[in-house]
Amino acid sequence: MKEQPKTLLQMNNVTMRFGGVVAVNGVNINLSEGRLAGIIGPNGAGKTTVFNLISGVYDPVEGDIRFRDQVISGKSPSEITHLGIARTFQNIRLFKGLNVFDNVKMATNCRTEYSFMEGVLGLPRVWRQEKESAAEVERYLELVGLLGYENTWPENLAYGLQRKLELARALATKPALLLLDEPAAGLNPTEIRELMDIIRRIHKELDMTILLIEHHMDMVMDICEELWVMNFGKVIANGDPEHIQREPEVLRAYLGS
Amino acid sequence: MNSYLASILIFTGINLISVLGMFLLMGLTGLLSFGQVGFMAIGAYVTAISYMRFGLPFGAGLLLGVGVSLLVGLVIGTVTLKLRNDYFALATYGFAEVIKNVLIYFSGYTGGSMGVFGIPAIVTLPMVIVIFLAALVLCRNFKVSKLGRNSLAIRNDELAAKVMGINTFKQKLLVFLFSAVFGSVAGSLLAFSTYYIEPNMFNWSKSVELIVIVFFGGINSLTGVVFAGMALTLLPEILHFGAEWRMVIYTAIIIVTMIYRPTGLFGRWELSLSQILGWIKGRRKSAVGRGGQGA
Ligand SMILES: Nc1ncnc2c1ncn2[C@@H]1O[C@H](COP(=O)(O)OP(=O)(O)O)[C@@H](O)[C@H]1O
Ligand SMILES: [Mg+2]
Repeated sequence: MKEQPKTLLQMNNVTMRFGGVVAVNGVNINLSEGRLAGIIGPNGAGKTTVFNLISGVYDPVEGDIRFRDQVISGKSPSEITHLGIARTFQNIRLFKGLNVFDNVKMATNCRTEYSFMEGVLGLPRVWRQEKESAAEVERYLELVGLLGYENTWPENLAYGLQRKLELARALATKPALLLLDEPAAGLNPTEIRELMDIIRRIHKELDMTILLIEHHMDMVMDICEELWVMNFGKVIANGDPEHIQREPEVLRAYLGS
Repeated sequence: MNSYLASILIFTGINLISVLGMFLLMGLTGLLSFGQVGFMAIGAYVTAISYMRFGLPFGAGLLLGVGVSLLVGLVIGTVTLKLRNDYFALATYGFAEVIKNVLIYFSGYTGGSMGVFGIPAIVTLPMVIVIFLAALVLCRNFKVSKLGRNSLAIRNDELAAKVMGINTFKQKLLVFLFSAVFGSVAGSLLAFSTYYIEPNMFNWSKSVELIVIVFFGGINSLTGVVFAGMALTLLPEILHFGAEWRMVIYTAIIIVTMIYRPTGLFGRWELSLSQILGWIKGRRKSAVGRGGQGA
């Protein structure tokens, strides 16, 4: 008999409106710990908005979101990151003023303990922690295949590498839950295969729960253990990929029949 | 040393201390502030009045000025740093103007628009140099630690910075207060090196000067702002520019910088100790090499 996995993230009847647009409409999501899961759905379905709600960029107008049984809706993005949720952005948002190395290193800041005063005085604890962070950064850069690019400016990286850098930056906050918003968008088939391997490795080796939004159906069907399908702000189906592929509502949403 | 030269250097050093504060705030954190001059005024007046009226020693008065600046900064920062950055800039302009008007209004203590006279010239060039170097070290520590990364992240993309776990309001407030300390100390030093202070020394044009220096030197280069600070403070003094020409020149500098070097003269480039050592070694080596060939 298998033990019932614990729920890590729970969205209860969550609604988000922008003016007259109901971007997310009464969404329920129950994500178990340790899953590699996905959200799919046509453009404008409300997928990114779901991520914005989980990460605290927006507060839902109705419903609540729980992470490890703690209500997180209403908390600020930085508080939520400290609780253990990290994300990437669909439209890449790297820090142009920081090089590749520092883009990842800044994400370790939420775990460094020294204070403002210690920092400006340059006390020994600062240097110890800076060194530890630097070693971590190298590990994450290695994991996504960006070793050797430390001193490059992010805007000078090829598009595929920028996506990988976003991934490394999110990892560096050491999240329990990783949200990836269309990580394969704009990548070529070789890059997508590479990315899938990286995501699998992260899931296994770093023991993270991963929720990703994706357009590439074959990729989603291949790596995700569970899927939510969204259309017009609503979840229209939930289950494992084989089950989803046979749902008539999903076929209608995708094939327009 | 020639006392005219010494006084110019003292003035330059004091300006640089204030500029360093602006560098952290505007350069690294991306918060355009017209308020730095307000904190300079607070430092100058608190130190001068507590010395002249209450016999407080200069050092104690300087610290008192820092304390008052921190309190005022805490109030101003808490109210304005939640605003959008452009509103913050406007609000700091208002703050500096209010400080000036307070100084004029409470003339019983401040001497009104006449100012405070007969302040002894306690400040010496070595004193200014030591304080400037200390300030420089603090700024460098700031830049290379997580504080600098947090600030640069906020300047580049505040939302992404928040999502990556930075409490952006707290970081901005701390930087604002820290830069206020630099301004306040600079003001205290200024008061005790110029014999008198008056509200007009703390005009908006002084803020513009500080902003132009940071902008010109490079918003991400400590080396650049120190260089620009020296150049733009020393040159007008030596060449005896009038105040009206200064504004014209500042405007020209901004336009030319924006067109040709939008990241400032030095961009992201920093002079590091290892580089300097490298040059010295390289020189020695090539000198030795040449010597060897000659022999
Ligand atoms: N900040 C916003 N302001 C106004 N409308 C928005 C905003 N964010 C999303 N929307 C709207 O909400 C709907 C869902 O968008 P989104 O979540 O980005 O969809 P998806 O990621 O599934 O493509 C769209 O109609 C979009 O225009
Ligand atoms: Mg989207």
